[in-house]
Amino acid sequence: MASAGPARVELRIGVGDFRLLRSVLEPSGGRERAAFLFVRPSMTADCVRLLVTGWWEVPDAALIGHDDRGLRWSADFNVQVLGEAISRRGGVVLIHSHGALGAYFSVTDSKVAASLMPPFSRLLASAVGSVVLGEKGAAARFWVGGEEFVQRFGIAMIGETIHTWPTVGLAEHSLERRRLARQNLAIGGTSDAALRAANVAIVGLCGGGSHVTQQLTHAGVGNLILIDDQPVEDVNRGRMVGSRHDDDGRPKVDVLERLVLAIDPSVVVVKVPARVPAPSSLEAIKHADVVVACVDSFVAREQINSFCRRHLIPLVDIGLTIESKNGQLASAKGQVVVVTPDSSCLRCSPLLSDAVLDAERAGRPPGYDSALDAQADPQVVSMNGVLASEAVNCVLHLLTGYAGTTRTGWWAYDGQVGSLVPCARPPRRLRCDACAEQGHGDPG
Amino acid sequence: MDGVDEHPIVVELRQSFREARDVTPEGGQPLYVLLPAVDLAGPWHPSPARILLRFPGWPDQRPDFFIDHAVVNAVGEPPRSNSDQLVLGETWRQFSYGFAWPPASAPTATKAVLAWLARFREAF
Amino acid sequence: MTTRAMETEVAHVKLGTDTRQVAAGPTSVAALKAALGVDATDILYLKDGPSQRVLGEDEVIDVRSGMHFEAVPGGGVS
Repeated sequence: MASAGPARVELRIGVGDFRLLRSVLEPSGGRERAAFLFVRPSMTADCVRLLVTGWWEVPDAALIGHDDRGLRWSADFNVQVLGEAISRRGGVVLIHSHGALGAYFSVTDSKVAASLMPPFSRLLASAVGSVVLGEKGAAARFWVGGEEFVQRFGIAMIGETIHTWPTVGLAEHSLERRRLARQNLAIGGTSDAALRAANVAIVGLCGGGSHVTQQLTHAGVGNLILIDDQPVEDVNRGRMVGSRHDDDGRPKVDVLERLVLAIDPSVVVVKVPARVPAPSSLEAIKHADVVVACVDSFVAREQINSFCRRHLIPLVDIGLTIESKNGQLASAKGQVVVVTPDSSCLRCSPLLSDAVLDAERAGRPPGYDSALDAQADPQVVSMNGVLASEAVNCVLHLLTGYAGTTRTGWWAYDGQVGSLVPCARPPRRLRCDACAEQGHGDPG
Repeated sequence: MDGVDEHPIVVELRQSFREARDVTPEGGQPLYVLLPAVDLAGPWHPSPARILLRFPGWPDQRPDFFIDHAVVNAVGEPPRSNSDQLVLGETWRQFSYGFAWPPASAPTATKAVLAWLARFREAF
Repeated sequence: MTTRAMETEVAHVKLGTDTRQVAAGPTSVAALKAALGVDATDILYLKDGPSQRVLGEDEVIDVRSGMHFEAVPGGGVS
């Protein structure tokens, strides 16, 4: 008998990988196909995310029978699958497709799941399951510790947009919000529900992050995770949207919560007065559908990039470097970058090269950031605003697909001449340390 | 894991630090070694504690040393001049501590770890 | 000279979450599967705390009380 466990299980996979998997499972002719997905967990209190890191199709050599009603394979192959899962330190999910016939468990599917998955789950000490795909949905059963557990199930396909099965929010949030009527005309009526159901984490709540928070609230994002360990200082108020003259000393998370709730009291705000990678900040980020990083250090950017890569969470990163000479602006260069499982990451690019990180670490040894004489960088509110606004466009596109066309995912900004230009994204770097951990999820 | 394919540094460290294991992620990354239970000197607790080592540039460069985030001294403070670092998906603690490297005699991973561990003879 | 019937020692072992009684002592894996009621085509694992190993078909193991086995069957979809 199934028992209660985490409320939700989500299979998380890059959209390119999902398309490839479906092409394997749903060939135009020939026998039925099945595959084992290798998954790593990314756990929060109410959701088990299983991050797909690879798969093995059940090969012909392992078959002991197949006909137009299905296929059977040997215990030997299952043992090989178990061995691979153990070496990857994760779980497995058996997956096959019924295509247009729909997402349901046949008698055979149920019988096999009930006989195979309990020993798998005990031997792997990880969540394991069986998934049946239909055309636009999936049915699933999961086990942990030998026991089947009851859960809601979804698949999140992460690419330029986040596409979920079942489609998030439509049933729960069908009423369009009147204040978003003009936005809905622009980016589509279903965007309202998708945004209301979305969880967005914003790391860094000052120059860029305050703009992002304000705009995402206006745009209708229903759940915001605000991460910053700093109090407001007078020198912040030249660029921190929502800050007031009497906010000095107040935690930035409190100031932004106030801003958000004044716009829309229905937004669920989670405040995390911590700095990445403090454990509380990482735990909060795991709940996010999208992370927006608005931090002022390359090392912090690198750690957010690494963590999002590991947990297959799309990341939008903004940064701006202003140099002045003799009291005059010399350059103001920045970027907006979107990182998804299918794309290269920030560590693949010169933005976070070893040289850049080493230089910052040399200049900021452990303990530096809490020192009173830590160096402050030049900032301009309007330049931050340009980057923040495009970052919000990126979040909207991830959550709603509104653009309807491919966006490059990388924009270069020049605040001196006033330009924001899409550019080609650097390719994946061989031996990128962040990409080496892609999909690895929780440590262990 | 089959011991035949193990990195020699892992084999060496296991002789001094119980259950040392290779936790290197894939893809041509520097060696990462987890020491799951290392006794700490002085007032530092919990002891034994976990230590994570990373070996970029070995042996010219001493290994990076990360201590379990939970380790604190008798008054509940972490090692001074510390910073949180995300390594292999988890928050570890790194701290400033200088010692000569490479040592006068042949550098070994064990010597490096013992040099790092000397830090914990200090109470703060 | 007198003879005495050999008494077969019984081992209380676990298969999955169930406790089974089987004859203790050196036993072939094939015979063990039969004694445990496991299909001959399943593959048997012996668990030892957090680790486990596959039992080879030709192996003979010394079955004792407290041993924990898992049986992995073949798979199928339809």
